[in-house]
Amino acid sequence: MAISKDLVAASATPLVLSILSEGENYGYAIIKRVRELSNGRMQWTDGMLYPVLHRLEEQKLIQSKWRESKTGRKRKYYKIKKEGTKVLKEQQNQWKVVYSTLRQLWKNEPCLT
Amino acid sequence: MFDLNEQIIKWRSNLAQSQTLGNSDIDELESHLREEIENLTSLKLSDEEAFLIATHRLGSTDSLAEEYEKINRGVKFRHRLFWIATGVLGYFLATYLADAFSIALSVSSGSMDYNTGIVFIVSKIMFWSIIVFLCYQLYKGDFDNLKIRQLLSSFKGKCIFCAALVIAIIMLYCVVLCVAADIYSRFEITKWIMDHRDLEIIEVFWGYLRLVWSVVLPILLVMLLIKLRRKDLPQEVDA
Repeated sequence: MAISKDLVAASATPLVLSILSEGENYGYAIIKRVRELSNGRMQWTDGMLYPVLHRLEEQKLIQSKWRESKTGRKRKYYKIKKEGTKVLKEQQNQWKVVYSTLRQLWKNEPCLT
Repeated sequence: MFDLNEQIIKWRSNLAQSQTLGNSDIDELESHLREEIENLTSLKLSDEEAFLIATHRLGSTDSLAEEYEKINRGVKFRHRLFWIATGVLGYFLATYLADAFSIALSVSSGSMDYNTGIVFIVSKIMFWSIIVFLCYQLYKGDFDNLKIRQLLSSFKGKCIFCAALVIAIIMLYCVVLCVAADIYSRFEITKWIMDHRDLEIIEVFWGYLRLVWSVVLPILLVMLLIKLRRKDLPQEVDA
Protein backbone atom coordinates (compact mmCIF):
# COMPACT_ATOMS: atom_id res chain seq x y z
CA MET A 1 0.00 0.00 0.00
CA ALA A 2 1.52 3.31 -1.09
CA ILE A 3 0.79 6.48 0.84
CA SER A 4 -0.75 9.30 -1.21
CA LYS A 5 1.46 12.21 -2.29
CA ASP A 6 -0.56 14.76 -0.32
CA LEU A 7 -0.21 12.83 2.90
CA VAL A 8 3.52 12.33 2.30
CA ALA A 9 3.91 16.09 1.71
CA ALA A 10 1.87 16.99 4.82
CA SER A 11 3.88 14.67 7.05
CA ALA A 12 7.30 15.72 5.70
CA THR A 13 7.96 18.49 8.23
CA PRO A 14 7.08 16.51 11.41
CA LEU A 15 8.97 13.48 10.08
CA VAL A 16 12.13 15.44 9.32
CA LEU A 17 12.00 17.36 12.61
CA SER A 18 11.39 14.14 14.57
CA ILE A 19 14.34 12.38 12.95
CA LEU A 20 16.57 15.38 13.57
CA SER A 21 15.44 15.54 17.19
CA GLU A 22 17.17 12.14 17.60
CA GLY A 23 20.45 13.77 16.59
CA GLU A 24 22.06 15.54 13.64
CA ASN A 25 21.80 13.76 10.32
CA TYR A 26 22.20 14.16 6.54
CA GLY A 27 19.70 13.84 3.69
CA TYR A 28 20.44 10.31 2.52
CA ALA A 29 20.29 8.91 6.06
CA ILE A 30 17.00 10.75 6.76
CA ILE A 31 15.38 9.12 3.72
CA LYS A 32 16.72 5.70 4.72
CA ARG A 33 15.33 6.15 8.23
CA VAL A 34 11.87 7.06 6.88
CA ARG A 35 11.91 3.98 4.63
CA GLU A 36 12.98 1.79 7.54
CA LEU A 37 10.30 3.13 9.90
CA SER A 38 7.50 2.85 7.34
CA ASN A 39 8.72 -0.54 6.03
CA GLY A 40 9.15 1.06 2.63
CA ARG A 41 5.52 2.16 2.40
CA MET A 42 6.34 5.87 2.47
CA GLN A 43 8.01 6.49 -0.86
CA TRP A 44 9.66 9.87 -1.16
CA THR A 45 11.22 11.02 -4.38
CA ASP A 46 14.68 11.39 -2.86
CA GLY A 47 15.41 14.81 -4.35
CA MET A 48 12.25 16.32 -2.88
CA LEU A 49 13.57 16.03 0.66
CA TYR A 50 16.21 18.70 0.13
CA PRO A 51 13.84 21.59 -0.69
CA VAL A 52 11.97 20.63 2.51
CA LEU A 53 15.22 20.75 4.49
CA HIS A 54 16.17 24.09 2.94
CA ARG A 55 12.75 25.54 3.70
CA LEU A 56 13.05 24.46 7.34
CA GLU A 57 16.49 26.04 7.43
CA GLU A 58 15.09 29.27 6.02
CA GLN A 59 12.46 29.22 8.76
CA LYS A 60 15.37 28.85 11.23
CA LEU A 61 14.03 25.57 12.58
CA ILE A 62 17.17 23.66 11.65
CA GLN A 63 20.75 24.54 10.77
CA SER A 64 23.23 22.90 8.43
CA LYS A 65 26.95 22.50 8.03
CA TRP A 66 29.14 20.78 5.47
CA ARG A 67 31.38 18.17 7.05
CA GLU A 68 33.66 15.44 5.87
CA SER A 69 32.65 11.91 6.86
CA LYS A 70 35.10 9.20 7.96
CA THR A 71 35.10 7.87 4.38
CA GLY A 72 36.17 11.30 3.14
CA ARG A 73 32.85 12.15 1.52
CA LYS A 74 31.50 15.67 1.99
CA ARG A 75 28.04 15.69 3.52
CA LYS A 76 25.70 18.43 4.59
CA TYR A 77 24.58 17.67 8.14
CA TYR A 78 21.39 19.10 9.57
CA LYS A 79 20.68 19.80 13.22
CA ILE A 80 17.44 20.83 14.91
CA LYS A 81 17.36 24.24 16.65
CA LYS A 82 15.43 25.31 19.76
CA GLU A 83 12.73 26.90 17.60
CA GLY A 84 12.50 23.64 15.64
CA THR A 85 11.91 21.64 18.83
CA LYS A 86 9.08 24.01 19.76
CA VAL A 87 7.46 23.64 16.32
CA LEU A 88 7.87 19.86 16.53
CA LYS A 89 5.95 19.81 19.83
CA GLU A 90 3.13 21.86 18.28
CA GLN A 91 3.03 19.52 15.29
CA GLN A 92 2.95 16.48 17.58
CA ASN A 93 -0.09 17.89 19.37
CA GLN A 94 -1.85 18.65 16.07
CA TRP A 95 -1.17 15.16 14.68
CA LYS A 96 -2.35 13.59 17.93
CA VAL A 97 -5.67 15.42 17.59
CA VAL A 98 -6.05 14.22 13.98
CA TYR A 99 -5.09 10.66 14.96
CA SER A 100 -7.46 10.45 17.93
CA THR A 101 -10.35 11.91 15.90
CA LEU A 102 -9.88 9.41 13.10
CA ARG A 103 -9.41 6.59 15.58
CA GLN A 104 -12.72 7.33 17.28
CA LEU A 105 -14.49 7.47 13.94
CA TRP A 106 -12.97 4.30 12.53
CA LYS A 107 -13.39 2.36 15.76
CA ASN A 108 -17.15 2.44 15.16
CA GLU A 109 -16.87 1.06 11.64
CA PRO A 110 -18.33 -2.42 11.24
CA CYS A 111 -15.76 -5.17 10.91
CA LEU A 112 -15.87 -6.51 7.38
CA THR A 113 -13.91 -9.72 7.96
CA MET B 1 32.37 1.73 -21.79
CA PHE B 2 30.30 3.43 -19.09
CA ASP B 3 32.21 6.12 -17.20
CA LEU B 4 30.40 6.90 -13.95
CA ASN B 5 32.23 10.15 -13.21
CA GLU B 6 31.62 11.46 -16.72
CA GLN B 7 27.90 10.68 -16.39
CA ILE B 8 27.74 12.45 -13.04
CA ILE B 9 29.43 15.52 -14.53
CA LYS B 10 26.82 15.54 -17.34
CA TRP B 11 24.02 15.11 -14.81
CA ARG B 12 25.44 18.04 -12.79
CA SER B 13 25.63 20.28 -15.83
CA ASN B 14 22.00 19.46 -16.73
CA LEU B 15 20.96 20.54 -13.25
CA ALA B 16 23.09 23.69 -13.43
CA GLN B 17 21.41 24.69 -16.71
CA SER B 18 18.08 25.02 -14.93
CA GLN B 19 19.55 28.05 -13.06
CA THR B 20 17.36 27.41 -10.05
CA LEU B 21 19.91 25.32 -8.18
CA GLY B 22 23.02 26.81 -6.63
CA ASN B 23 26.37 24.99 -6.57
CA SER B 24 25.78 24.03 -2.97
CA ASP B 25 22.41 22.42 -3.86
CA ILE B 26 23.98 20.43 -6.69
CA ASP B 27 26.87 19.34 -4.43
CA GLU B 28 24.37 18.05 -1.88
CA LEU B 29 22.39 16.14 -4.52
CA GLU B 30 25.61 14.69 -5.94
CA SER B 31 26.64 13.51 -2.47
CA HIS B 32 23.25 11.79 -2.17
CA LEU B 33 23.55 10.27 -5.66
CA ARG B 34 26.99 8.84 -4.92
CA GLU B 35 25.79 7.30 -1.64
CA GLU B 36 22.88 5.65 -3.43
CA ILE B 37 25.13 4.37 -6.23
CA GLU B 38 27.55 2.96 -3.66
CA ASN B 39 24.66 1.24 -1.90
CA LEU B 40 23.31 -0.22 -5.15
CA THR B 41 26.69 -1.43 -6.41
CA SER B 42 27.19 -3.22 -3.09
CA LEU B 43 24.05 -5.19 -4.09
CA LYS B 44 25.97 -6.39 -7.19
CA LEU B 45 24.47 -3.92 -9.66
CA SER B 46 26.73 -2.52 -12.38
CA ASP B 47 27.73 1.17 -12.32
CA GLU B 48 25.39 1.90 -15.21
CA GLU B 49 22.38 0.22 -13.59
CA ALA B 50 23.12 1.84 -10.25
CA PHE B 51 23.43 5.28 -11.87
CA LEU B 52 20.12 4.89 -13.74
CA ILE B 53 18.24 3.74 -10.65
CA ALA B 54 19.82 6.37 -8.38
CA THR B 55 19.05 9.26 -10.76
CA HIS B 56 15.50 7.96 -11.20
CA ARG B 57 15.00 7.83 -7.42
CA LEU B 58 16.42 11.31 -7.02
CA GLY B 59 13.88 12.70 -9.50
CA SER B 60 14.03 14.17 -12.99
CA THR B 61 15.96 17.36 -13.68
CA ASP B 62 12.72 19.21 -14.46
CA SER B 63 10.94 18.18 -11.27
CA LEU B 64 14.00 19.02 -9.16
CA ALA B 65 14.32 22.42 -10.86
CA GLU B 66 10.64 23.06 -10.25
CA GLU B 67 10.91 22.21 -6.53
CA TYR B 68 14.07 24.24 -6.01
CA GLU B 69 12.57 27.22 -7.82
CA LYS B 70 10.08 27.53 -4.97
CA ILE B 71 12.84 27.95 -2.38
CA ASN B 72 15.56 29.62 -4.48
CA ARG B 73 13.56 32.49 -5.89
CA GLY B 74 16.55 34.86 -5.95
CA VAL B 75 18.99 32.48 -7.64
CA LYS B 76 17.95 33.25 -11.23
CA PHE B 77 18.14 36.98 -10.54
CA ARG B 78 21.58 36.59 -8.92
CA HIS B 79 22.81 34.63 -11.95
CA ARG B 80 21.70 37.45 -14.25
CA LEU B 81 23.12 40.16 -12.01
CA PHE B 82 26.41 38.24 -11.87
CA TRP B 83 26.72 38.23 -15.66
CA ILE B 84 25.64 41.88 -15.96
CA ALA B 85 28.34 42.89 -13.44
CA THR B 86 30.86 40.69 -15.29
CA GLY B 87 29.88 42.42 -18.55
CA VAL B 88 30.36 45.91 -17.08
CA LEU B 89 33.70 44.85 -15.63
CA GLY B 90 34.70 43.46 -19.03
CA TYR B 91 33.77 46.79 -20.63
CA PHE B 92 35.96 48.66 -18.12
CA LEU B 93 38.82 46.28 -18.81
CA ALA B 94 38.47 46.82 -22.56
CA THR B 95 38.49 50.63 -22.20
CA TYR B 96 41.55 50.46 -19.92
CA LEU B 97 43.37 48.29 -22.42
CA ALA B 98 42.44 50.68 -25.23
CA ASP B 99 43.73 53.61 -23.11
CA ALA B 100 46.98 51.81 -22.34
CA PHE B 101 47.41 50.96 -26.02
CA SER B 102 46.82 54.55 -27.15
CA ILE B 103 49.30 55.84 -24.52
CA ALA B 104 51.84 53.26 -25.67
CA LEU B 105 51.39 54.57 -29.22
CA SER B 106 51.76 58.20 -28.00
CA VAL B 107 54.97 57.30 -26.15
CA SER B 108 56.40 55.47 -29.15
CA SER B 109 55.55 58.35 -31.48
CA GLY B 110 57.17 60.81 -29.07
CA SER B 111 54.07 62.90 -28.43
CA MET B 112 54.11 61.94 -24.74
CA ASP B 113 56.86 62.03 -22.16
CA TYR B 114 58.40 58.53 -21.83
CA ASN B 115 58.42 58.41 -17.99
CA THR B 116 54.85 59.67 -17.63
CA GLY B 117 53.65 57.13 -20.16
CA ILE B 118 55.43 54.21 -18.50
CA VAL B 119 54.14 55.14 -15.02
CA PHE B 120 50.63 55.42 -16.41
CA ILE B 121 50.78 52.07 -18.22
CA VAL B 122 52.41 50.19 -15.31
CA SER B 123 49.88 51.52 -12.78
CA LYS B 124 47.01 50.44 -15.03
CA ILE B 125 48.52 47.01 -15.62
CA MET B 126 49.07 46.52 -11.86
CA PHE B 127 45.54 47.57 -11.00
CA TRP B 128 44.00 45.33 -13.61
CA SER B 129 46.23 42.41 -12.69
CA ILE B 130 44.64 42.51 -9.22
CA ILE B 131 41.13 42.72 -10.69
CA VAL B 132 41.81 39.86 -13.16
CA PHE B 133 43.33 37.75 -10.36
CA LEU B 134 40.23 38.25 -8.19
CA CYS B 135 37.97 37.40 -11.14
CA TYR B 136 39.98 34.25 -11.85
CA GLN B 137 39.61 33.16 -8.20
CA LEU B 138 35.88 33.82 -8.48
CA TYR B 139 35.69 31.72 -11.65
CA LYS B 140 37.47 28.86 -9.91
CA GLY B 141 35.22 29.31 -6.88
CA ASP B 142 38.34 29.02 -4.78
CA PHE B 143 37.53 31.66 -2.18
CA ASP B 144 37.50 29.04 0.56
CA ASN B 145 41.31 29.06 0.38
CA LEU B 146 41.67 32.82 0.38
CA LYS B 147 42.15 35.10 3.35
CA ILE B 148 39.92 37.65 1.60
CA ARG B 149 36.87 35.45 2.16
CA GLN B 150 37.56 35.32 5.88
CA LEU B 151 38.16 39.07 5.83
CA LEU B 152 34.84 39.70 4.09
CA SER B 153 32.95 37.60 6.62
CA SER B 154 34.69 39.28 9.57
CA PHE B 155 33.74 42.52 11.31
CA LYS B 156 36.68 44.30 9.65
CA GLY B 157 35.52 43.10 6.24
CA LYS B 158 32.03 44.38 6.90
CA CYS B 159 33.50 47.76 7.91
CA ILE B 160 35.44 47.88 4.62
CA PHE B 161 32.27 47.04 2.72
CA CYS B 162 30.32 49.75 4.56
CA ALA B 163 33.11 52.28 3.90
CA ALA B 164 33.04 51.39 0.18
CA LEU B 165 29.27 51.79 0.20
CA VAL B 166 29.52 55.22 1.86
CA ILE B 167 32.16 56.31 -0.69
CA ALA B 168 29.90 55.08 -3.50
CA ILE B 169 26.95 57.05 -2.11
CA ILE B 170 29.08 60.21 -1.72
CA MET B 171 30.33 59.78 -5.26
CA LEU B 172 26.82 59.30 -6.55
CA TYR B 173 25.84 62.50 -4.77
CA CYS B 174 28.79 64.30 -6.38
CA VAL B 175 27.82 62.98 -9.80
CA VAL B 176 24.32 64.33 -9.30
CA LEU B 177 25.79 67.73 -8.27
CA CYS B 178 28.06 67.82 -11.31
CA VAL B 179 25.24 66.87 -13.66
CA ALA B 180 23.11 69.60 -12.07
CA ALA B 181 25.94 72.11 -12.57
CA ASP B 182 26.25 70.99 -16.18
CA ILE B 183 22.54 71.48 -16.75
CA TYR B 184 22.70 74.96 -15.14
CA SER B 185 25.61 75.97 -17.39
CA ARG B 186 23.86 74.67 -20.50
CA PHE B 187 20.81 76.74 -19.77
CA GLU B 188 23.01 79.74 -18.98
CA ILE B 189 21.55 80.31 -15.58
CA THR B 190 24.85 79.72 -13.78
CA LYS B 191 25.61 83.44 -13.68
CA TRP B 192 22.85 83.82 -11.10
CA ILE B 193 24.03 80.88 -9.03
CA MET B 194 27.80 80.49 -9.50
CA ASP B 195 30.62 82.51 -10.96
CA HIS B 196 33.41 81.44 -13.33
CA ARG B 197 35.68 80.36 -10.48
CA ASP B 198 33.05 78.04 -9.06
CA LEU B 199 32.73 76.36 -12.45
CA GLU B 200 36.51 75.87 -12.65
CA ILE B 201 36.53 74.22 -9.21
CA ILE B 202 33.72 71.93 -10.29
CA GLU B 203 35.65 71.01 -13.44
CA VAL B 204 38.76 70.08 -11.41
CA PHE B 205 36.60 68.23 -8.91
CA TRP B 206 34.90 66.41 -11.79
CA GLY B 207 38.33 65.31 -13.07
CA TYR B 208 39.33 63.86 -9.68
CA LEU B 209 35.94 62.25 -9.34
CA ARG B 210 36.32 60.45 -12.66
CA LEU B 211 39.75 59.22 -11.60
CA VAL B 212 38.47 57.86 -8.27
CA TRP B 213 35.38 56.44 -9.96
CA SER B 214 37.48 54.52 -12.46
CA VAL B 215 39.30 52.85 -9.55
CA VAL B 216 36.43 52.39 -7.11
CA LEU B 217 33.77 51.16 -9.54
CA PRO B 218 35.71 48.07 -10.70
CA ILE B 219 36.49 47.26 -7.05
CA LEU B 220 32.80 47.63 -6.14
CA LEU B 221 31.89 45.41 -9.09
CA VAL B 222 34.34 42.72 -7.98
CA MET B 223 32.92 42.93 -4.44
CA LEU B 224 29.44 42.48 -5.89
CA LEU B 225 30.64 39.47 -7.88
CA ILE B 226 32.21 37.97 -4.74
CA LYS B 227 28.98 38.51 -2.83
CA LEU B 228 26.88 36.90 -5.57
CA ARG B 229 29.29 34.03 -6.08
CA ARG B 230 29.64 33.32 -2.35
CA LYS B 231 25.95 32.48 -2.05
CA ASP B 232 26.47 29.62 -4.49
CA LEU B 233 29.55 28.22 -2.80
CA PRO B 234 29.30 25.37 -0.33
CA GLN B 235 29.84 26.32 3.28
CA GLU B 236 33.04 25.58 5.15
CA VAL B 237 33.82 21.90 5.52
CA ASP B 238 34.81 20.63 8.95
CA ALA B 239 36.87 17.49 9.21
